[in-house]
Amino acid sequence: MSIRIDGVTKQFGNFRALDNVSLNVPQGSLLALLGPSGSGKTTLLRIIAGLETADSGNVFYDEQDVTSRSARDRNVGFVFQHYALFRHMNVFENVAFGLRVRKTPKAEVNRRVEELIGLVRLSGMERRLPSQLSGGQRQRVALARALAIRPQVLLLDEPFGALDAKVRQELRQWLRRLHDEIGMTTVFVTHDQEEAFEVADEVVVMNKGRIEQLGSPREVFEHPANPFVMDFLGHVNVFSGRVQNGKAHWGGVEVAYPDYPHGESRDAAVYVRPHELDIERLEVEGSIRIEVKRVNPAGAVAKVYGVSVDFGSDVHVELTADRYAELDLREGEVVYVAPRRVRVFLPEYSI
Amino acid sequence: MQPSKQLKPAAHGFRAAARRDPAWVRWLLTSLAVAVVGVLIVIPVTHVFYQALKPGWATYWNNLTADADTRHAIMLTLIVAPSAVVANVLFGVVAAWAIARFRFPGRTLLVSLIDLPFAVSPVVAGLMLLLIFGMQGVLGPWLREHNIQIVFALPGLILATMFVTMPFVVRELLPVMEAIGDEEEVAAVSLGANAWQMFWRVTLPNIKWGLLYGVILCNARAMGEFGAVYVVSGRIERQTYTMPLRVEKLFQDYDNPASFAVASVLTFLALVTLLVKVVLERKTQGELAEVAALRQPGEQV
Amino acid sequence: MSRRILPGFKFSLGFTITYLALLLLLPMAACLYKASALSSSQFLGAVWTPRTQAAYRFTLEVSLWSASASVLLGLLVAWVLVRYEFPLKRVFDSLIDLPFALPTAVAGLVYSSLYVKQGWLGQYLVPIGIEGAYSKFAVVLVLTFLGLPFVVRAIQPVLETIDADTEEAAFLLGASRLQTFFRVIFPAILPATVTGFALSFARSLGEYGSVVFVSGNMPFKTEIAPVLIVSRLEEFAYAEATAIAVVLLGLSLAMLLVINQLERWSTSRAT
Repeated sequence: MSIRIDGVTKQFGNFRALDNVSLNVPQGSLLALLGPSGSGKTTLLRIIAGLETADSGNVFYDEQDVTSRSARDRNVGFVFQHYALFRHMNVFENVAFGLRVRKTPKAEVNRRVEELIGLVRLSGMERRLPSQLSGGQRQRVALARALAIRPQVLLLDEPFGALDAKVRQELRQWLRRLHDEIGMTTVFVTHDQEEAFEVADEVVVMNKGRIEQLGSPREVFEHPANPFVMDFLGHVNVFSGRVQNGKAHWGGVEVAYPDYPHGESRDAAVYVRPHELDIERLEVEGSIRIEVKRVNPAGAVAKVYGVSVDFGSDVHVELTADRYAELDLREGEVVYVAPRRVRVFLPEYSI
Repeated sequence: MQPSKQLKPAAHGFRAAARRDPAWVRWLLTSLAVAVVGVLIVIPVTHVFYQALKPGWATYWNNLTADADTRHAIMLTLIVAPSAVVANVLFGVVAAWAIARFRFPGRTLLVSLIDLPFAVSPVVAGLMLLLIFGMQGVLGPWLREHNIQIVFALPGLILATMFVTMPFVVRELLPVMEAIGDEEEVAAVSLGANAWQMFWRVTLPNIKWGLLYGVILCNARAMGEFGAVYVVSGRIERQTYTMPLRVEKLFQDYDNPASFAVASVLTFLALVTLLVKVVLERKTQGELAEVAALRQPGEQV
Repeated sequence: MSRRILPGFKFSLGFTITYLALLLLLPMAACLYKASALSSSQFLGAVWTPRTQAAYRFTLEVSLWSASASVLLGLLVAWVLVRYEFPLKRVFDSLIDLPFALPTAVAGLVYSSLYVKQGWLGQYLVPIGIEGAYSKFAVVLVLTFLGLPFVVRAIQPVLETIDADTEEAAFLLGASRLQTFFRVIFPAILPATVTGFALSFARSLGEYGSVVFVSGNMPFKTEIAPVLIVSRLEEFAYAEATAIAVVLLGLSLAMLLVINQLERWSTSRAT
């Protein structure tokens, strides 16, 4: 089933949770709603499920308007952040709940529940109560329960947020595989960009009730639409520069910026990711001087923290281990930093 | 890493559509609940004051102060209740310390024992005291020999009230002390504080609101105790009549205005108790929230 | 915990046990000792007469009725307190505790005067045949007043812990409001409800102060067991009073055990 959101707005008191949001989720896709707290991602998910009603705008399932249809009748599978398992029911009864309230025949209930418990790899734990399960197991029960009613769309609210790092990693892989197997349209909410990129086909970056960018993980990461997205998707160095005549300048660095062909000079923000900076001992063209303050070689990349000699701003560089070993940097030494790639944003897009 | 709790609009006073019951259900149930509390609680309380004041303020005042028996009952209650409260505060603090801070065999049994007076009928409690200290009681002959009067006298009234109100202070202190934990006390001791210093500087300031709350509840019950006191009092005019007993006596004598006048004082005290309770509950909860906040990692100041 | 680090273990435990022994165990022992002086036929003769049987039956009956009424009304009140907003809700909430703070004699006095023929409520109820004073109904009424806060305060906190997510989950899985209540909410608050029932029942079994005012204390009809003890005492029939007290004490201890078990059940389910 495909989902279409058309011009949805939602206000809570003085707080505008969603501001005229439109979005298409094609049949069978796995989409992540990514954004910081208060960006409206959870509200959007709840409006898709029918748990909140939009102040204006419409929700379509397969081009059928379901805006006024009750959540009960939408037949969606929903997984809550904190699982929301029925604590007095065992695993079997939790999964069977949706079937029981639909008065499904007993034999059918047993068959379907066993099948789902097998699918989430909890066979043998049917009689356990939620309190006797680990976090990851609870999450899988919640998923099986949501799938029991054969939903046409699966919605997950921060599905891995309450789990520890290792379990989270396993469940991500597992959710991806599960989606590939059953191919159900799936939307999940997360504030963790790594999680969104790893699991989803499409990522929707949200901020302040609006969609900032929509695209594949690669598109969004490589071509962030604006400073917010750039900033949200990982560490970034921000420098203030100017644009004029199709070029952007910052310190001694000049890069092409065809989007601004005008003669009048304007302030602009120049964004460079740490791993897109190179360090050289000798001055190269288009570089700035930094004094190395601290190096942290632990991990897959070596992190170098420095301060620009000419502007005084912090500069953060990531080097490969090989390059780091080759350079043999000392704290306190002055080196040249050259960007391989920069992104320039004009101030109307400022965060 | 702490999982970050998302700000959910639904949790901020805006109840989601699925949880909101239809308006007519809300209306019906709220009206029914208000009616229940109105009939069972509000009307009776109002009625006490109405009946007491019906003959006018002058008569009301007269009913309370002119009758020597009533005056004596008020005085007696003002002696009996605080005595019982003091004893039970002492017991409550010490017992809560033993139970909340140490593990020992029979601990659960001890907690159940402390609850016992809640379950025992006050009349039975009074009778049990008679069976020890009364003329026919186990210690009766010995007491008479030494000319010590316990039942049908002030000590009996205090003992009976102590028995009935025993659990109140401990019951309030236990959850507070358990929630606060022993870290601060262990820290105080490790810094060289002796038992007294630890108690006065660390324990008491931490439990003060809970303790006060226990005192208030204990006092309310102590002032109002009827059954146990009734049995051990022997009902001797101007000697063993407390306020609740006086209410009953006046009622039996068909002196309704006077009976309600004394009852109105007790009712007023009950209302004050409720008010203090609301304030203290908020303080205790604030204190516990503070403790919980201090245990979080420092980032969320 | 920290038996060795914190001071005062021996003193506090010793004091606690001594206090309990003197105030609690000694009187109970004296009661049992006095009762044991009776031969079994004397004991039975005291506790099992037509009049005592009528009193036990009446006590149990009014306690059951009032505890049931407290549960029904308490459930309603707790539900409304937790789930709905309305003006003066805080006042309403704190008024629930009034029966804890109000002396039982005052409750008895006012209930007896409200429901007589000339009373505020009696003037409407007596003409239509509802005798709210000096009757079984009167006793049930005042005991319900006393029992209500036990039930409300038992259910309220548990009801609060049922988060919106759980209900939404049931709703999304296709459950109707009634199905959500009976399959999800009610099972979750059942232990607390049963605990509330037991607390209110236990309280009713031993209640004396309020009941003497409203029951009329007619032997064989509206006499409760504690009143029977008092009237035996007034006849200086100490042995018989003691025998009946032992029966009542046994019942109280049994209720205490039941309540303890129920509370354990409640907390084990709450996790």
